Amino acid sequence: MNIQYKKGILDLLVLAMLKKKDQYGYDISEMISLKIEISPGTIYPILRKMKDDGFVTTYLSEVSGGPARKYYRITNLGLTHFNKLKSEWDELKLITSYFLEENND
Amino acid sequence: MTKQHFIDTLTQGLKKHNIHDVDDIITDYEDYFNQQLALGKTESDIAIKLGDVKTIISDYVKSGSKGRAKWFDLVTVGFIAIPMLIILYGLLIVFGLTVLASWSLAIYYLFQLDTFAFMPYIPFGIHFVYILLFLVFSLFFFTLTVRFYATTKSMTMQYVVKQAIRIGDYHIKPIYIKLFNISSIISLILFILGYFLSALVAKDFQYWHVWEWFQ
Repeated sequence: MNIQYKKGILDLLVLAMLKKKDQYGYDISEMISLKIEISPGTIYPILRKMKDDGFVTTYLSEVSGGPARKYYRITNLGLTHFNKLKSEWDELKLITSYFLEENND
Repeated sequence: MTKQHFIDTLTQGLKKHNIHDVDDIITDYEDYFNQQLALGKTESDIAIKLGDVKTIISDYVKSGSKGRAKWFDLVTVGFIAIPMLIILYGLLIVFGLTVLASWSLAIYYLFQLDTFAFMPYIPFGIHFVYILLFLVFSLFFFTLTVRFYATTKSMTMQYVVKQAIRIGDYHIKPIYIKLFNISSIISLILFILGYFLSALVAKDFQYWHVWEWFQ
């Protein structure tokens, strides 16, 4: 997939994951890098950017028999941002399918 | 590349570029190594999978995780940020009262009230300049208050959401900025005009002595 496509959609994917439930940082990078072939190391800078923008917060959670895990949680601002990105995505989908449609005159 | 080497290179690179909370970033990468090691992967394989360290560092630099200036960082500390916000809200009240006071002064002179003996005497005619001055000044302070409120609110929200404050990061309608600029200039002109007209009417540059303001 085109790298520009991937970068454009990453914020939306991460926020969509966090909207369902809080996520372990490792799980976010693993799941996304498996699906869209992006090196997991480049997902963390995006998470950090979203944290700086106030879309997500982090907290440490103790796990028995291991070091504390860093979890990400979506904020209200993040939810607003998610809705904005999603409606942009829906619009893009509509426009794209209109032009890709074979038989419209 | 070993885990230690990867982490060290990343830490040094991030610190060199003044990225804030480097430890927080490193936690994510250490986590990644630990999880993958538990799956039986080798350190060098994991490092390759994570991607080029230089690219990762430049991602952080590009996304602006950089601390802009040193003293902004001070504001992020709770024991400074909270008292500062309280002071700002106090100032906001003072600003609001100034708007009210200036507006009341205009009304006072407009209706030629003499309720308060301590109010300075301004002769009829010239008092219109002062009324206008008080009205414009009140507008000026009103726009200043709006602007100040937007800043303070933005700073409070930033503090609540991410415990970090960046000053000057706020939005207000452009009309307020325009009014602010216009009213500040007009206030200044009226103030100077008021002085010279008063001096002319009283035939003295220290007209306040002629009108017995401080007797």
